[in-house]
Amino acid sequence: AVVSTQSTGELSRQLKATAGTSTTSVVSGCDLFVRFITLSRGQKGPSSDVDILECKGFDPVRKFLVERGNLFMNRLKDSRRKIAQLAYPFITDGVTVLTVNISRVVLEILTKAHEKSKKFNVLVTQSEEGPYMVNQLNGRGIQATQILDASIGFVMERVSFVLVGAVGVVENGGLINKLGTYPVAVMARSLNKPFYVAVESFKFYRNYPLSQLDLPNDDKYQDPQQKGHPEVDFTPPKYINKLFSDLGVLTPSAVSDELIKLYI
Amino acid sequence: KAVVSTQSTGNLRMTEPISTEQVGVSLKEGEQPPKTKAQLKAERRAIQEAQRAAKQKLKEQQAQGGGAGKQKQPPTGAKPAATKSAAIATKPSAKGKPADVSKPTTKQPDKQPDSCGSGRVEILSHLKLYDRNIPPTQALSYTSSKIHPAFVKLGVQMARDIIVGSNARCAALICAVKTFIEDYNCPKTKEIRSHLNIALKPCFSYLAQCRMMSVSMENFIKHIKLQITKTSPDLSDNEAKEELLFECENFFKENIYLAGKSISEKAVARIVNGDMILIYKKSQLILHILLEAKRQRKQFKVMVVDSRPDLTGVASCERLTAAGIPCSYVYINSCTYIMKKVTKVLLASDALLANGYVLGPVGTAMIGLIASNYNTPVIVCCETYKFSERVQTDSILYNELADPDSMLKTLNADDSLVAGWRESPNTRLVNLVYDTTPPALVSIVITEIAELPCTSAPVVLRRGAVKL
Repeated sequence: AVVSTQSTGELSRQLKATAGTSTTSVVSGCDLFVRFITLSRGQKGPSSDVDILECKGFDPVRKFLVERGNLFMNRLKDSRRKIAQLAYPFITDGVTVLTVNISRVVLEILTKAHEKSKKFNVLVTQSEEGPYMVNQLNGRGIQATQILDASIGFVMERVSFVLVGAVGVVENGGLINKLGTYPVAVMARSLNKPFYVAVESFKFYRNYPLSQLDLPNDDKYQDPQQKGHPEVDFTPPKYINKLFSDLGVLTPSAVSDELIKLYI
Repeated sequence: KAVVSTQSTGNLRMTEPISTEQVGVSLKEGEQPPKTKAQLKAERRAIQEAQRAAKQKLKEQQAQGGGAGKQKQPPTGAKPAATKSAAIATKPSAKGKPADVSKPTTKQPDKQPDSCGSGRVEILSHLKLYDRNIPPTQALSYTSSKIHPAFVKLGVQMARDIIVGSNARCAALICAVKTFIEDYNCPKTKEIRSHLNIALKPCFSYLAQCRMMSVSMENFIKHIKLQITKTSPDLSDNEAKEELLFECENFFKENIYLAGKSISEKAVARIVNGDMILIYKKSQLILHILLEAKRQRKQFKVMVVDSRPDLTGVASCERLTAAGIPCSYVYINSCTYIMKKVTKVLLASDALLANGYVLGPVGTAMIGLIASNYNTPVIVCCETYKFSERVQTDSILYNELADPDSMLKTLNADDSLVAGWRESPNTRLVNLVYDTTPPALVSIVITEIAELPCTSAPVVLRRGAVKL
């Protein structure tokens, strides 16, 4: 093989070490990146008609890997725009959107909807970085209000739907997101409000937790001694209505389909 | 596919175009003009109506004679086949049935209870009930039987529940097919790839008559038939046979043996120290997983849930305690009581259907439901070769009926209060083998290729088709 499995493992490890954190999005992104650039059987070389696996010498291969890498990066940068394109029609005039903490994808979707002159308002839970999200939204002219995490029960009846970002999406379609997402999901389900997730496809993660404890500890705690609160929580797929991703608008059961396509 | 009963074969005949030759019997005798299909149908319906009227009169006479009491309509199986085989019989008879039920009629107690006919539940009348008193080999002639002795033996072993379990039955079938192929000699004028399938056909239908085939067996048969048709005509007979023998062995190795190892690796990773794992009855795969977990020094306890009539959970318990795993044993009645102490439920399955439903031994759905009520994760282990393209949402459409008399044995005494159930018109005994668990109750399905949610079954089926 052009690139042996040992070296891909090494590459993954180095990427993750450089990133500094081992949150699921970084892990899954690195895994997918390595797979994308190496598993390209049948792909043509950069400037020849020869199959990449049959090229002599490493230079054309190196060129090829770099090209694939750039392609991957461009797709990644573009994914947020694609998601906004898919998701903004769900925001109609007069809706109230509830979102949890900060998410750049959600920000992009709401901005796009605002550009298309939709009138809506946003409620943002405080969590850790809620104030930053509110500032960003207000700065773009979107009416945004900060609410306490404890008040989601109080506001939920006024909400039209919930839209959150993601740190990772797992194999059964479940969601790993900033702490506080799970209670919002349960609350939304209890009052029959749709719960939407905006997530790029590189965050699809090969893990299948059955409970909160099943999440790898690295993902949960920044402090290696695991003191303090976890960073993320796990929302089971039955609370999620739709996922907006650059692969399309998916249901939680379709996530497994996509993951199988990507990995097996 | 519903079992074809005598009713529908009658209907099938009627839909064929009727030629003058078939009508010709009456022509030769009486020189009547050839009758149209409609006229013949009308004639037959008239005869049927006359017969029914006569029968009804007879019943009413007897009802007046004997004590009247509202009784159930005699089950479908008891009705003579003749009245059913008339053309468009379904319409008038369907109308006849509900109307008759409302009238109070006495049912004549059958003088010689037909062991298959009476005592059938109508809603399950499409399922075949094998007569346990007749040996499965009765229909076979001693000489010149097309059925290989390995299959004869296998059929009897299946019918008598000597070989049980989806993996075991499939493995036994693979052995029988291998023996057949080894002993097979292709006639000089025929090609192995067309003739071998024809030669195997009576063997498979004999097996189906002994006991309904499990999904694992059906999938293997599909696979091997395809491989036979794919053998290259350039190969000599011996080479082709060797190739097919290799295919059989490979099927077992990949889909049963190695798949089992892969599944147990993934399942053992989910078992943590301090777990209380619930298992249901006996499954080769689940026992393998638990013994492997024990070998990896995990500390866990097992709750074995068992149910009648076969009580295979006892054997499970024996194997686990012999390995040093602390076990508890309960009947399925007390499932709700013990479920709150259980941390994980580990179930095996006979098949995974295309709509995500899990086909398992009867009682699995109940355990799944109770577990979901307590938010306990339900882990189903299923090899991919057991994935079926069938779709069903209930346990009635496709199922198997086991021996009803085995339900009579109780722990205390063999002499049961319902021992005379066949004579009694009000008692039916039903011993179902499978039930279906909806995907909402299953947390995860562990297969050898991946850990999936139940709803991803069609994805695997799609990919399997591509691989072939």
